[in-house]
Amino acid sequence: MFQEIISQLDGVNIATKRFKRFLADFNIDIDIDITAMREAVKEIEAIGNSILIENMTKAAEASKEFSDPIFLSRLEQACSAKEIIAISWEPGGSPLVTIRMEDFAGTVDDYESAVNITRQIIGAEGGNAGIASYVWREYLYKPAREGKMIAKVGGNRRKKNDKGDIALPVNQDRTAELVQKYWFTIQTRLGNMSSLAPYWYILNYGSSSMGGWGGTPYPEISPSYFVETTQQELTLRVSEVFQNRLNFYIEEFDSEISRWIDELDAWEPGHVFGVIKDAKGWYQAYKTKTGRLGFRRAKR
Amino acid sequence: MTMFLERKQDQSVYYFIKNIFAAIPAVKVVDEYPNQLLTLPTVSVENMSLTIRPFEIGNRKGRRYAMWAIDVFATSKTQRDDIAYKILETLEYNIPVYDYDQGFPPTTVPQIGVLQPEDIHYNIIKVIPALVDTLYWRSLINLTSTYESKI
Repeated sequence: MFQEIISQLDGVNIATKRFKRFLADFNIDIDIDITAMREAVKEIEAIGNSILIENMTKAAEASKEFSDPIFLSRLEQACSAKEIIAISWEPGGSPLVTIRMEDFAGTVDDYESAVNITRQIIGAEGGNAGIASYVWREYLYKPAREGKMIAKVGGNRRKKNDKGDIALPVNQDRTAELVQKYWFTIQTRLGNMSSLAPYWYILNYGSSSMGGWGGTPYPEISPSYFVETTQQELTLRVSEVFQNRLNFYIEEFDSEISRWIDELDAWEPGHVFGVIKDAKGWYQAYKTKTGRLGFRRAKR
Repeated sequence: MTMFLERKQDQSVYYFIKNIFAAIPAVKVVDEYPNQLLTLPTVSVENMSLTIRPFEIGNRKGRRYAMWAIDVFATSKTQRDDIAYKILETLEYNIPVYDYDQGFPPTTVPQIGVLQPEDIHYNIIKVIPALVDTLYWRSLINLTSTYESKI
């Protein structure tokens, strides 16, 4: 871009050599790059959390299990953390977006630990994994989350009621009791997590079993990859904003220099057209005694 | 009805991965996440997201960034790594896209373009022993690519 400006300057009444040297010293390409990078990062940081939350919420709704506010609110809280999205630039100039879910939502180890502690508390340790999975799926998860009714049909055994009367066998609706047990289990799990929402790992990467009868997680959750998807989306957005800002500054610089050259004849020597800043300091663009465009260091 | 270009790209990635393991029939390659019955070792290829971003000035036609998730499920850590590294080694080259409207198998149909890898990420996914009856090892390769037509 600046090579184009320099080539246009040939033949123009301006201290061309000095200007070329000035542009080289000024290293303005880098300065504009850095400014555009900073602005791109700032702009994407401002919207990054809401994009992450949106993708996470879609994933949670699709999973059904994690769509309940008890899970969702903790996930939202983790995804709202300002520092959860880190944007940096690789040496080649490509943006690198990292979503620090493990730092802010927790690790899968924490989730595993909470599951094991809960099993100890409710006495569900050991035993047959297949039967345990079956009981979880049919007698706890489905009544609580899928509206399944569980009724215990009365058998031959007769019971005395509160008044001492013998009650006839009846169908006992156990749904409410089982729903309560499910939520107690979930509350116990959540209460024993040392981080906010380590189950993001299951939501993101899914759960899969080895098949066969019994020992399967329920519900089986397909991976949503909401973290990777958000990373990709943000990376593309950073690149786009950076390119837009860079183009804007290049055009602005180009038009400013062109304007100064166009106006040279209209001003007396010594007239200051404007100032430019680089890492070393400020420079004034002015009309020289010989009527050309010159640059000199300036104080600010 | 002819296939959409995106569908042809999905198929091409799947067959590209499948061909890597053509000589190793023990490695099963499936074109969706194995939700129901997982046998080991399995590689699943699933299309994740497609993002269209403006590309050319004065033209609303965008560049398409398509992302795939390639999951590796293995019986051991070593097997997981060997399979994943073999995929990674091959993925760095362009993936040919074939015109599946002309028929199967893909090697006999004309090539219409290539998918150029833009980003490849490799992650180890921890499997929670407490939640599975048989432990397995898993890793995930995310491939983001752009399409270059050859027609």
